[in-house]
Amino acid sequence: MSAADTSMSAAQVVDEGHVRQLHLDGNIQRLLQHPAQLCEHPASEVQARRLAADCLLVVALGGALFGASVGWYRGPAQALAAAIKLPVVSLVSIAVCAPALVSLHTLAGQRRHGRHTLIIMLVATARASLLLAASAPLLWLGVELGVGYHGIKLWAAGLYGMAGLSAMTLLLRTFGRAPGSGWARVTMLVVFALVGGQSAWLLRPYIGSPDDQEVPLLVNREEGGAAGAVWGSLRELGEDAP
Amino acid sequence: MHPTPTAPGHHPTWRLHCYQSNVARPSATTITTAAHHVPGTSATVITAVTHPVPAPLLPQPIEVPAPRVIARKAIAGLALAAVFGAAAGARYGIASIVVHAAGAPLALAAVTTVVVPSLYVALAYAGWSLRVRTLVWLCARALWASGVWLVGVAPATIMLSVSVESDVSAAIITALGLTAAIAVMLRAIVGGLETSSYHSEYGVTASPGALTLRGTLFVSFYLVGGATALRIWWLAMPLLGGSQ
Repeated sequence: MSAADTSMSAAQVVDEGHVRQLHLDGNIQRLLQHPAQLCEHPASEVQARRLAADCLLVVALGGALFGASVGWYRGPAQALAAAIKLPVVSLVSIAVCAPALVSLHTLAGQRRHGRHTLIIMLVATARASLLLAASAPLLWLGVELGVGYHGIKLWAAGLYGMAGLSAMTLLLRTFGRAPGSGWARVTMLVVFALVGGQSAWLLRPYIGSPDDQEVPLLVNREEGGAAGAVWGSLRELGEDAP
Repeated sequence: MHPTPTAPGHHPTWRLHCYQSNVARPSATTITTAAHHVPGTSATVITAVTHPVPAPLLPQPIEVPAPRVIARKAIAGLALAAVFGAAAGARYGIASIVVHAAGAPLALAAVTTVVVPSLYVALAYAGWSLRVRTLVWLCARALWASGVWLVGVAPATIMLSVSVESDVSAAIITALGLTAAIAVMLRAIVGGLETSSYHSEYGVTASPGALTLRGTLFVSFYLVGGATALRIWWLAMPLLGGSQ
């Protein structure tokens, strides 16, 4: 290969990288401002792949940032562990909820290709991850300013719930207004809430219990489920309040 | 139809056909008339206007495919329901997977083979007609719709069933999925019957009384079908606690 060829291919790589960067920027803008546009059927296979890759990147980074800020309560090691676990939670939720979304779309008369449904789920989860990433600095600040264990736990759960709600509203919009779509929306809401909550619960701890000397990577003890944990923290906060 | 003014003193009579009550070929129009006196004369103009019957009142011809297609659709629905049963039973091991995979489609099959014929008899008694083949096809489609729902939530069910801490929570989650499935199935059957059944006496324009009676039969079908399915699942699926 001649020097001219090498410099041309390097320039091409830089150009393609620049174009790729523009695509990522554009997709992030659209995720925040016009997510419904991204849920429409992709114009081409290449576009679909780019969008899926961008969404996966956003899910990974956004979840990592949020997880790190939550785990920072215990230190850098726990921050790293939580940064790895939270994106996995999102991916598990996508994998488990996607078949339900396909079947509900079919029953509501909105039959879509499985790949298109997967893209819709990725877009919704990526949007939620962007919101998590945006709220991560606030959480970190709360940790640094000395907010207690139960406060951080409830705050993180609340932010996670709000991000999930944002993803959910986008998913619900894809059902249209056909007869039966109301029932399908309610069902999707229930499935998504249960699966999202349980996925997060399974990969706990993110902060670890105050009683643990060392925080394990995963916990297998009975703690009353996600709802039980939130309720317990609410009671503790209520007891500690003046 | 173009009415013409009549000569004074002469009032033509019209033979009107409001609608044809021929059940085999119900009419698609109704004809209404109005008599108007022409001012300044003694003439009476009788106007006849044809009205198309609103589409929902017409029986929608459902294309019934070959028996082989009907059977495939029904079996596919039951097989998909078995997948859900297997997912729910995964909490307790291999034997439980097999038992629950057999139990899940059992109730759906029982409703379509026992309860739906009762509804057919009741509808016929109330004057509503429906071809048996159409009813069988509606049942097959309903089984398939129910199976699609169940297989869609099977991954969520296996994840929740295996991971939740208490047996009661696992039972509740499974029961929710099954309840939704029977609701989907019953709604699909009733929806098909609403558009494809016709009244043998009133033709296309059924009286409010006949429609109310049909609605009452549908509500009863929901209750009896739902209760039957839930009872069978209670007996056939140990996860739900009935057969322990």
